[in-house]
Amino acid sequence: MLSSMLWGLRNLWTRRGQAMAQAVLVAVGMGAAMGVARLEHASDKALVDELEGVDLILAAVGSPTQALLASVFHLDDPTGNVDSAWANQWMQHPAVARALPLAYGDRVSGIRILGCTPDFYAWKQVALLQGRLPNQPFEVLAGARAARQLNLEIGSVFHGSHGTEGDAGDHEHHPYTVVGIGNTRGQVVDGLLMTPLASVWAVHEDAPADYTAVLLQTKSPMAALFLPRSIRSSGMGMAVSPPLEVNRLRTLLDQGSQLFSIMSALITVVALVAIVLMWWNFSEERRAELALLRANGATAFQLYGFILAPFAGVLFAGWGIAWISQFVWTLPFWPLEIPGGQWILLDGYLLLVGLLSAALLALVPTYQMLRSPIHTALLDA
Amino acid sequence: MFLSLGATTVRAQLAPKITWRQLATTKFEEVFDASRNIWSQKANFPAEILALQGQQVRITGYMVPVDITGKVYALSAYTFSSCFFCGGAGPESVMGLELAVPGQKFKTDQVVTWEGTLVLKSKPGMGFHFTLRNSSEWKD
Repeated sequence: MLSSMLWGLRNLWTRRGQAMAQAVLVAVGMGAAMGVARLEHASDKALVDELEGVDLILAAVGSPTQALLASVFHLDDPTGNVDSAWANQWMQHPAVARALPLAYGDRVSGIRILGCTPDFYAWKQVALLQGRLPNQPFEVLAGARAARQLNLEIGSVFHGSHGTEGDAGDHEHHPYTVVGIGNTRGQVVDGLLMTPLASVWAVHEDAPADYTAVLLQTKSPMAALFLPRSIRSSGMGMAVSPPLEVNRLRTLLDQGSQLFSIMSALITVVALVAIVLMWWNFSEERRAELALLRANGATAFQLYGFILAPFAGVLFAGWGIAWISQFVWTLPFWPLEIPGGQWILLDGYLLLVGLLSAALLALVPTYQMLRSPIHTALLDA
Repeated sequence: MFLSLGATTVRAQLAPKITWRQLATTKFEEVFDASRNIWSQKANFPAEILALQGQQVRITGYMVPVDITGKVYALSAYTFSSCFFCGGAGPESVMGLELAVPGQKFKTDQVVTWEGTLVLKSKPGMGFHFTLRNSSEWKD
């Protein structure tokens, strides 16, 4: 059977253009499935990494999802500011174990300056690479990624500005100085510049010293369930429940990835059908030669191997292309820490399913071949 | 002989279905928890509820996610938005769930009937006054 499979592969080579197109089709289908699985894995991990230890978020009244995306992931504009006197009451509530007030500062070349308290560094498990933690206004701890992007070193001085770089809103009078650069747990904070709350407040002298959001950890799940009502009814802001919002986000993501999975399955099926048709035609064209083979004693098993080899070859090639390409197409999502190089169970599963379906589908042209009587086929030989 | 007969009949029966209305007969009082330095609520369970301690029961409620990994849930008498944000809900309207098969995922406010062992705690500390241990989803 081995030699007949080699012969089959050699035949595949004669049709390499067509085979390549089919392999690419297989790759698109499988690659989509692989990429979606990785994105799902990565976004789940990111959600857990960024929100660990946050049971409630105090924010200005608005969309809870927006408040979460803004205050934890820095992906959206905040819903507004919360009055610090009001928030302090809740931060000192006996059922609250830890409170991390945050104040949004300006941006530097698109990178956020975040006002925070020393507890924030502890929560984010900052590991200093250089320097120390800030303790005075206008001292800055740069996340390692932010430092790389802005070419910051210890002692670097910069100004914050509203909006984009170089526009009229530069705050020239309040230079920030980098005193530390550190790695942080989770990808988001690594891309931020952190400074004491007082610096953010000093830059905007005209505005009240408010928080943008406060991350709360409660002493019990019961408190996390019941505090939001009291907070909401105290009038000045809202409490967002990360478990609830994450549950909602997951539901949305699941729907999206289901749609994607269906599409990738459809593409793969189309690719498989195309391969079957190609080999069906092939066995029709080569009817006479195949009949000669059979007349010379080739077994059904050998014929099957002859057909199976190119099938498996195309699927394997498609799978390989998909596996390599998923490194490329998940690149734009880089901050989400895609486990691209990691061997995921799904990859092996896809390969197995691919090869099994090759084994099954190769039966069709083989059957077609065996069905045609040798003597009529030989007439053409 | 009667006793043994009784026992077999009970075993063959379904676990009794309890209602949130029943659980709401529990009275709560504010007590100061010196060890944690907070005010907390102490539950005084009526005899009818106490009799269910450690018993296999069934209860239907809304699923409320309690942690971000999506693995820990509580069961509530009310939907999340209508209870926890707008008022009306007390500690008797929520129950901790310990799943027999952890890792199942549920949507917020999904209605599920659970069967499990009811555990009552008058001063639950970090946990819930009502907990359903070893819970498995009940389907009619």
